Amino acid sequence: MTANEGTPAAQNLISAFERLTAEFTAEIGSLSTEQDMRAVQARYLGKKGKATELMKALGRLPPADRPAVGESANRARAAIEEALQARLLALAGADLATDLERTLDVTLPGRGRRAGSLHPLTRVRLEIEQIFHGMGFEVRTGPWIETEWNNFDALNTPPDHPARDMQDTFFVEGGFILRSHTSPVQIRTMLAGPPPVKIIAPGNVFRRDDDATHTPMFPQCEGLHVDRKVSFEDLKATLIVFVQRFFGPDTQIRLRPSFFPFTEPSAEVDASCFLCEGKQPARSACRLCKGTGWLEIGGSGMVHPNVLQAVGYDKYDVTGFAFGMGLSRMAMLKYGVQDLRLFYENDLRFLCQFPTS
Amino acid sequence: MKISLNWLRELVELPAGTDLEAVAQALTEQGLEVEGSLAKGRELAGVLVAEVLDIKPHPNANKLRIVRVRAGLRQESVVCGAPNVPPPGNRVCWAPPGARLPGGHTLDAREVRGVLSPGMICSEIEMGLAEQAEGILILPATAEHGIELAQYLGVVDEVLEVNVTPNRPDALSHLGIARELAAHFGTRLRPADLGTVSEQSSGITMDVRIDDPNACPRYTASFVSGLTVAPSPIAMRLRLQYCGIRAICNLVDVTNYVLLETGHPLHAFDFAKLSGPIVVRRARPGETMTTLDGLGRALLAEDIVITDGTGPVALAGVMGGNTSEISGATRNVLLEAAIFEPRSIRRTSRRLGLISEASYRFERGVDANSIPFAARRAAALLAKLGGGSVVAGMVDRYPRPSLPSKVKLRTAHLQRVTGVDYPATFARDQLVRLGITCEMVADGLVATVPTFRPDLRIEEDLIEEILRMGEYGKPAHKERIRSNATSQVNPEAPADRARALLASAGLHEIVSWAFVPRSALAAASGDGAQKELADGIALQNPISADYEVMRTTLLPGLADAFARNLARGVSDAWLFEVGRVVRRPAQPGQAPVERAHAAGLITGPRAEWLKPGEPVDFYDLKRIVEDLLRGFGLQDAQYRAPAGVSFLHPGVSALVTTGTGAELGCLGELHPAIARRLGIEPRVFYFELAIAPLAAATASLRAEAPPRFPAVARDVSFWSEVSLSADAQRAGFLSADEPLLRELAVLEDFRDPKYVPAGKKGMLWTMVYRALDRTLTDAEADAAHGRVVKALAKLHPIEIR
Ligand SMILES: [Zn+2]
Repeated sequence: MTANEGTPAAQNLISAFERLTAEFTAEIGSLSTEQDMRAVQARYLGKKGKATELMKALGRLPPADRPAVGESANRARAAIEEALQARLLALAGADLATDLERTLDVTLPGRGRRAGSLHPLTRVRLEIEQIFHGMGFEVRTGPWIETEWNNFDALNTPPDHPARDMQDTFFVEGGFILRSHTSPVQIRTMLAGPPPVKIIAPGNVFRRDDDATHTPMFPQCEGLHVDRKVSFEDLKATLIVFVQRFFGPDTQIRLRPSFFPFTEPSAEVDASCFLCEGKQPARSACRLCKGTGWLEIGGSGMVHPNVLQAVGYDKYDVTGFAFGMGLSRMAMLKYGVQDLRLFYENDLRFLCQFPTS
Repeated sequence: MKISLNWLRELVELPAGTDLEAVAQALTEQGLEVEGSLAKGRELAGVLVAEVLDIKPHPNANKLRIVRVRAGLRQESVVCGAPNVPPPGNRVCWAPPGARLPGGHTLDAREVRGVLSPGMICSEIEMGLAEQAEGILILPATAEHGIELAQYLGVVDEVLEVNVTPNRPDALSHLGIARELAAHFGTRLRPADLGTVSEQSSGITMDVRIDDPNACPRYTASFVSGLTVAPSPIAMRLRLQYCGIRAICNLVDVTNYVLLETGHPLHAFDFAKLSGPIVVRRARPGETMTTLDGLGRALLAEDIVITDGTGPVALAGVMGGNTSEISGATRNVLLEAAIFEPRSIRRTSRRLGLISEASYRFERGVDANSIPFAARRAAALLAKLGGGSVVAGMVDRYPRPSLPSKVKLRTAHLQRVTGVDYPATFARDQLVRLGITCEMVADGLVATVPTFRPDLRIEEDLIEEILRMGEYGKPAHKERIRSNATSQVNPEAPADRARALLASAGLHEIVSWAFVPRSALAAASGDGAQKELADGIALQNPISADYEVMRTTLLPGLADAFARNLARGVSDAWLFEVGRVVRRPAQPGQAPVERAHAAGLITGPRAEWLKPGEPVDFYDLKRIVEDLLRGFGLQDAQYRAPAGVSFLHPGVSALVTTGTGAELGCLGELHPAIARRLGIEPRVFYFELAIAPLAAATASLRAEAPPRFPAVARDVSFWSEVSLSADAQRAGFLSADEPLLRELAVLEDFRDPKYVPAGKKGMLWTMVYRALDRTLTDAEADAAHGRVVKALAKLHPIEIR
């Protein structure tokens, strides 16, 4: 049965329902919020709404017409809801589109306080510790205020030894001194336990010197490896691995005979200049290595038997090597810093160039 | 030490083409580091040795003369104003047109009072060879005319700066360095030839006695008579000057020259001023003498003196006395060549502040067995330059002969220490190059070490010698690196953790001196109110008052760094330092106590965005400290006021402890009066914490899964007494022991007097309630919240708003 087959009254009612949908769609077309649209919807479909009014006429129709009209009422309800949903969807799309039109000035700075910095001497120490840690060296520390025995005598440097001239020592009350190198840490470590010992000892040391190239306090890092069958070749290998990790894989080392009371044989350690790579013509003009192609990085050698003896090790059973370097020098080389004093001026404009990692 | 390359070339054969760089490299590789070199005499070029042919007066000037000179095939007439033009047949220095003199001056032919003069005849001053001179330089008649003066005198030279380590006294001379080069290049050494010295069979002499053979193991006295004091020849003066020694007169210069050549200190006494005999002994208590510099010296029993019949005439090895000094009238000389005990020389020279070329060598050790050579060399030179003669018969007292030592080297030990399987024959060949004789034995060799190498005493010393020539430079074998498991933690790790935490909180790390001025500790300690801060461990020999006392707190360093940045226009410096402070030990005589501290200082505006921020305050500082403690896993730190710390504002500061009461440190506003004394005007906030208790309080980290049921939040707002702290309120709430309460936090502390009753503050807290096993109902949450609020109200008078 179709609407056309019904009475005129029924057909009027059916078209009224159809008009209702069109009217609703038109009315919500100007609205922009769901709330407003629901209010309008209530006027159509609510208890006192237009659809309800129309339905009141349903009862006056012949029973045969009622199903068709009822069905058109349901269609109108569904269509109204559908129109509302369609409109809502359109609106959401428009909102999203508008939202996506937002822009800002990405070149303005980020919000909040910037991270601080680690001192370059800290950074360089951490890097060096990490390299030696990878080779199995443990970090050891010791006091600044030391006995002369730990600082000199145990290190084969008796009183009146000319080598005590090489370091001008600070004396503190109570018969102590400020350590002039971190070697007392080696002594303390060996006194504390039997070999093997494989340590590095970073820390501040003190010498009575204060000029453009010396500071009365400066950080050092020494290393010590004592065990059976530790040889000069092991020292060389350790040093080449270190310089290649620190300065770059093409770095070479040069050992030069030297003298330290606590090692024999002794060697100065040079690393090839990473800036000019020792190659002419760059080398002649190189400010870093001053044209030599080599950078002095520290001293080294085989632990003197008298040192092993002083700590009660069997000098016929074990051998060892030791090395040491100044961290200020390493930081200057690593970061291209020309002036040593910059490390101790604590000028933020300098310090803030060293991020935390 | 300054070494002349020309001089070296005289003393050792070098392979053809061995230049400065090759010499420097050879020495450096062998452990005698060449730290630099200076090119000498390069400004003088084209000046010729010329023979004077005849001398005529100048037609237009009384004081000028026209000197005809010959240089090789060239002959010219040169105008000369000097009064000392020598008679024909002598040699002078002629700078012809085109020659160059120091200062960049190039000569040309120039008219002098109407006579054309091709160049000039030069004085030492004009040639840059001396600072003063009288007239032109006259050369010996034996000089070949026509050759370049610079070549003739050795003006063109390279002076090497060689760093000789204290163990190598043998290398403190040109001969010693030459010996190293001979070993390196495998060439011959050619020390000065003594063969032609003619001796006078009799003449002056004086007996010598050594009273203390330990103080003086060997003493020789040579005698040279009939001398005339005069300036030394220019070539010798030049060499001395190049090596950093001032020329004085021939008799003194010879001792210095031989010192530089052989490394043996020598002393020339005016024989006429000695009464004799010479006695070498320790000084007597109360004895005094006047040294060459004119100063009276009080002597101690550790000093060694040379005496004649009247008393000390020299402080042995350190400085001569003024009574026996060489003067213009000296005719006869006693030349001393001796060795003295190094330790005494060192003590005496240090005590008197007299460190000389001689004392420097004596305290490192001079070879007793090469004394005769040095003495003969010097005596011969004295006789030659002073026109005198050497008296035959050197007096030689040698009560403690030094003998070559024998050192055994085991091949197995050589291989163990070096890590290379060197054969014993290789070891022998290397040592022989250095003048060490070796006897092969079953398990190695026995080396006989010459007495000029006192540093070679043990096996390891020989090993260095074996490696020293070429082996140091052999490539390394990286595969030897063996890693071992590390069992102990890095003791510096807690300090490094603090560094990382503070840097990421926006602070910048500084490093300051461990020693500070006493005044800074006085300020920080409130003039001693806090004794442990005031009473720092003092340095006994500080460089200056700025480095007097070991720091007891990190405050002075940070304050100084801050003030410095402020002065440079960096006003919001947030700084920190992690380092040690040193405190007096509990018991006298114990080692001082060293503790690592972390301290920081903040100031300036808070980080606002695109507009100026409000100034930072206590709570900005507290957030930094809280995050630092949290970084160490410390959740239950307590903050207590008043801090009672001398350098903090009494009302705006707190002590920090762990939950169990272990003291960690303090934080607060820097005391305004103390800040001013430390050079700081703006309001700054400061904390200082000890690292060790922080590290000790670090618990191992335990984590929980996130809760499965939702939480319910409830707020409470009330008036309380101003004096009731947030911590006390929190404790009050927690006294309810409410199992559902999970979190509580202050949202507001409201004190505006317009709205708040006098003596009160408005508080707003928020609490979070949650059950572990179910979703809480509103009613359950309300009931729990009621219990919590009631618990506080029961303890303190509060008025719910
Ligand atoms: Zn370079």
